[in-house]
Order: sequence, then structure tokens, then C-alpha cells
Amino acid sequence: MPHAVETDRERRYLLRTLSDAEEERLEREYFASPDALDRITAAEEALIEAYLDGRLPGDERQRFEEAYFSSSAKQLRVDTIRRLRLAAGANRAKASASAAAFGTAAARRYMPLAAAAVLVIAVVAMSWRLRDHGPSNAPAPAAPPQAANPAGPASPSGVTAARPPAIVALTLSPIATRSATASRPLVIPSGTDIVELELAVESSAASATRVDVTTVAGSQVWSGAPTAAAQRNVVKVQIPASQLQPDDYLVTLLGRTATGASSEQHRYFLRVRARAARR
Amino acid sequence: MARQVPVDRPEAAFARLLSALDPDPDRAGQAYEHLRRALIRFFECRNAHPADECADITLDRLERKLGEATPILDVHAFAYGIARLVMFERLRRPVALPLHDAGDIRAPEVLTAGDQREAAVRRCFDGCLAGLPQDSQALVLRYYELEGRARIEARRALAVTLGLTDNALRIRVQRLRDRLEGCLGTCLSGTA
Repeated sequence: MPHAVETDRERRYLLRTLSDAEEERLEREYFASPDALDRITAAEEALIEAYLDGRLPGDERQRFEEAYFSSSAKQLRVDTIRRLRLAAGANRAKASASAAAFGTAAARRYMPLAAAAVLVIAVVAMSWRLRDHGPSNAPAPAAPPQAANPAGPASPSGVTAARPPAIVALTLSPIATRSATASRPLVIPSGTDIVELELAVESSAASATRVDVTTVAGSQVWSGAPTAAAQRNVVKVQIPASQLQPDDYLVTLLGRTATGASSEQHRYFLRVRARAARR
Repeated sequence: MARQVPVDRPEAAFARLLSALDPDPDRAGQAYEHLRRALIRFFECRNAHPADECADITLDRLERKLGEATPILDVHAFAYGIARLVMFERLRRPVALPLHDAGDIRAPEVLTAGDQREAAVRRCFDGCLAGLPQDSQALVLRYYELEGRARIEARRALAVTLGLTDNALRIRVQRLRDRLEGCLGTCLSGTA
């Protein structure tokens, strides 16, 4: 597997951190040997997956982005793997949904039989009762129990009353910090209106001016200002949940420097995943 | 006086390159594929764009050199030498590049027309994936399932199921991914 065959030298070659002499030695090796070339390819796959997983430390991440997003061919490679992973996830979810649907279909198929069996039992029971007590003593059928309505009484017009927006909050650490690499994917519950991101910052949050959200492939999905109520070391931003489809995102926090210039303050990795299909 | 370069038919030059790589025709074909992949990898890593075009320039020059009187003892080492020259030439002169190859970390047109481009990429990706044979499609999707440790274990199990080594499975998937990337590149250049 890529993790097993990946070597430090190949990885450093791909990130352009080898010396000139080491670089040339490695290049001569892979020109002469298909195995050496395969090792580079394996190291590259491992590197791309580590990047997409958000597992690269800050300096390597920066080198990776410099190396891979400066060429359309390499950017396409990263994007292809990212899309394959998403497609594989969706495929798996679909397979689970199909299995669940099969269960429902089976239930639907056998439901008439079950209902018929209940009816037969009821008729037999009633006939026994009539034979024992006669029709005058038959108890009046009880009214069926009302189904509980967890949403409360429906409004007369059938229109649901206005409700406060449903918010899901998530705290993110900057990518350079160790804890950022271990952040769990965000699964947005259905009915969520807003995703509130709490972006941890190392300096004061007061200088933050804008937050950009892009997919790792570079498509911008949202951009906006932080909410006014920023805490000292946290910048909060509210994003419509509908904007965050299952994907991997880079969240960039921009702010003003002491001289008033706009600059990137921190980056965060956000992974949104689809809810698993319920069986 | 400059030496007159013999005008070869491309087929003859290509045949000469193949026989210089390996006298056995089957192995020569594989050696050629390996050399071209190595060249593309080299130009990609050295930021000489477009890598496949640089690789073809190198192979053309190599074919020409093989037609000259001086024998070439180590074709791979010689190809590497030519590749370095091509790289230096490419890095020295300004080349007309697509905007997204110009060294900016994010392509500006991606940022300005993100939605449109995303829709086009998604369409191309879905079409290219659907264009793979059914079993290849299933294989590549299973390979990229799950995350973290579970993914590694699943790939190991997949390799065992298919009777392959881990490395052979990775190479098989990589070949499929190469096909997918090639298809995507063609599709996107058609929609640009």
C-alpha cells in the first residue's frame, strides 16, 4: 500500500526539498528502473491522499500546494483522486440505501400476508366470542388510538409557524497546529440552516475581515465577513448549510496587518461528509 | 560545416529507438512506455511545462541522435542528458502557458467562474468514469472507499481477493486513474 512503500526520499523529491545532487541521483535511478519510477508514483499517491486527509504538516502542505497547484496537470491529478474518493463514498452510501430499500420492499411485499393473517385471527376470535355470548354482549369496538404528533398541533392553515434557524457549530484549528490534522468530518444533520464555524486564531480576532471557503480543487463556494460578536481568540462565521455539500474545503481567514494591508492570517481544513443512509 | 541530418521517416526513427531500448519487440514497447513516463515525471517535477510536450521533444531528439554514427551505449542515461537540456531551454525562455500553468497557486479563472467550471469538471468526471469498463469502475471506486486505517485494510483485502500483491493493485488502479485523467484533460479542453 502507498503508506508502506512510500519513502522519505521520494516524498522529498516530489516536494522539491532534496539537494541538487540527490535529485539527480534519484532521477537517473527512475530513468533506468521501472521499479524506481513506481516508487515515485506510490509516494505521490500517498502524498496526495495525506494532503486530502489534512494530514500534512504546515510546511509540507505549503510545499505541496506550491508544487501541485502550479501546474494544471498535477492539479488535475489531485482533483481526480479527490473526486474518486467522493464518488466512492457516494457509491457506498447508495449501496447501503439500496440494501435498506430492499428491506422496505420485502416488508411491503409480505405486509398483505401479515394483514390477512391478523384479519383471520380477528375473525376467528370474534366468532368464538359471538358463539359464547351472543351479539348483544359484544363489546363496542374501541376508538383507535391517536398517533402522537411530536411536532405539536398543526396550524389551521397547514403552514408551519416561523422557527428560529437550526445552527450547527464546529470549532476548527489552523492547519499548522497539530490538532487540526485530527479534526473529524462534519456531518450536517438534515434541516440545518446554518453552519457556524468557530475559527481559532493565535492573535487577536479583531483584525479579521473576511473568510473565504473554497474546495481543495480551488472552486470558491462562499466568502463573507465574520459575525460581529467575535471573541478574543475565536472568529465566528455563519455559512448557509446549503453551500456546504459533501466535499473537502479550505477555509481562509483574511485580516488586516498593523499597516492596514490585507493578508491571509490562517487556513483551516474542513471536511463535510454525507449522512450515512439509514437501514 | 554543419552535418546534414538524414531525413528519416518517423516510423524508421521510432523503430530504431525501440530496438535501441531492447532487441525484443515486446520488452521494447514496455521500455518505451517507461521512458516516456519517466520523462513526463521529470518535467513535471522540474516545472517544465507542458511536461508531455517536453517529453516528446526529448524523444524526437533521442531518435535523431540514434540515427547518427556515434553509438549510444546507455540510452536511458543519454535520454536523461537530453531531458536536462530541454528543461534548461524551457526554463530559460518565456513560454506561452495557459493561465493556470503560470505559477499562481490558484487559477484565477477558477475563482471567478467557479460554479461554471465546477459543473463542467463534474460532468466530464462523471462521463469519463462511466466510460471505464464496469469492472474497472467498480475496482477504482472500491480502492478509494473508506478513510484512514479502514481504507488501508480494505485495500489489502481487495488485493487478496483479486490475487494481487498490494503493489500490483496500486499499479493497476494507477493505470486506470491515468486513463481517467487523460479523458478528463481531453474533455475539459473541449469545454474550455
